[in-house]
Amino acid sequence: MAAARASRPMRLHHTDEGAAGTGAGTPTLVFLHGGLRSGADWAPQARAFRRRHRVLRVDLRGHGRSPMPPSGYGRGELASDVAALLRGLRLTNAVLIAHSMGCGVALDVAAAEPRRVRALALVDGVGPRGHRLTRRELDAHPWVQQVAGPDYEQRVIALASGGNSFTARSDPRLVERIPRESARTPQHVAVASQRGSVLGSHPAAAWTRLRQPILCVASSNSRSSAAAVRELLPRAEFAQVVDSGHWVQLEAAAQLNAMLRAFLRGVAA
Amino acid sequence: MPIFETREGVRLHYTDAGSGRPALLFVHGWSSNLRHWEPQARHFGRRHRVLRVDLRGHGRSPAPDLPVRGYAIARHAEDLAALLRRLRLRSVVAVGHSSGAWVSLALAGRFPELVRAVVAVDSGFDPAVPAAELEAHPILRRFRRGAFAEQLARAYRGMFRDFSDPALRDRVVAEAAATAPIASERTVRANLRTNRVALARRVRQPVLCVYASNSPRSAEELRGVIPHAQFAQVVGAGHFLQLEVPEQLNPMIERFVELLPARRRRA
Repeated sequence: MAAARASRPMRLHHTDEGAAGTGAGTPTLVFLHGGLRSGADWAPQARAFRRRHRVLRVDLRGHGRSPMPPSGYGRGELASDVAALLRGLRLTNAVLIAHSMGCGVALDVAAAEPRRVRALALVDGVGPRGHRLTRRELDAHPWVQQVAGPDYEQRVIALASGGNSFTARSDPRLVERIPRESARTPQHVAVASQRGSVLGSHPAAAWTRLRQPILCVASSNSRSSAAAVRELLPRAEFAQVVDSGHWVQLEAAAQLNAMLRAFLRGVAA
Repeated sequence: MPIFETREGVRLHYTDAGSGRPALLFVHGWSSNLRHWEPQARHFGRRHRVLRVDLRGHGRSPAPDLPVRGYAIARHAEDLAALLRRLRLRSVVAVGHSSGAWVSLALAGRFPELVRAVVAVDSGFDPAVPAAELEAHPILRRFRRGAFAEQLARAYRGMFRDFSDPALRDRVVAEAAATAPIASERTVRANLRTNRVALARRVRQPVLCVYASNSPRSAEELRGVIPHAQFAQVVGAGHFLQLEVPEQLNPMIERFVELLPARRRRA
């Protein structure tokens, strides 16, 4: 679908660590970050899972240490890069674990490579279904406008600090660090990435047909729900953590890791 | 294991271990007992004072032959308040499972100085069942169908999922079936007669509600009952999530307790 018509895939920077000698049945965990972020966001999960699993943390194009083309940041293009990585590594047993904008990418990868993706865990990235937008509406969307125009750095910091990013009780170090790091993303990537986030609420028809187990984990700020998630993904399981803003993998790592372990047990059964 | 006797002569079996504030008070649900909080007692006992109580007529607390109103949510809550006062404990975090969550919320609403916050584990909030409809309620109809212990065991088995650990399920079911029928039946009748929405609405303290993975309850529904409550849901567990997935529930409770707003100073 969207992934198939994308331009030539790019080779993505990724870390590859953990149990090389695990049994054939043990899935490889492939972590996908959200917009303006990188694979480094998944450090607590890499530490927790690399003893039992092969763990890949991918930098999507334009992010982290991956190539940064002038354009081509649609969800389909990001997904085609990841699909190419799975093919290149000959993975047939991947569990995609994605955050925020990465969730739509993961769903597209699963639809394009159903035999390589065994399950998906989607963290704070599946909300209520959006309605279809024209190109002009998309450019005018507040999420895109927030990072367009002058004063870019200030705008990104406001974006990554505001809304549902953090709770009143979030760790102040994280509240300071995440927006500052996010502001290092080049503006053209940020604009494209925000467009992708908006489009992430436009489900591909193929998503509803996915057969893999899917877990959707919401932050405590999220207005998502089991019902909202199932509108897009009829078979998905819904879970929600306690006292965590958007970066659940960093703020509520203990809770999320325990949820992922329970989910992986179910996938293996 | 200590026994506490209330002024009415009701004897409550409880455990009291560990130190550190806030103290956590664990309250089991209908036909359950304090052993169903073992993973939490182990985990939180390292940093907190942990109390677990067998509600009147449950576990090792004897079952007084009282009318249904003697097993009301409010009576169970008064028992806990009396115990906390005897132990000179205030500002505990009450963690209740199922109908034990209603007891915890009743305690918090009626004795606000004793309870700093409430965690409700897989508990829904429903209005009172009208007296005319009570006998037709599925739970009470079930108990007219056959031997009490057998029907209770059946009801309990349904609280687990097909992927639940069968050994754990069988242990919990057997313990539930051993509950004194007086206490079990009168508590369930008293629960159904109580408006549990009204009881929850009185609570002003922070509330966290954690649900099983297949629960039909939603954050939206919860906001209609306790607008300030936080909704959470675990992965891969039935009703007894404190035993099925303590590795998920414990960090949830831990985070909630750690981030409780500082207590207001009293003049």
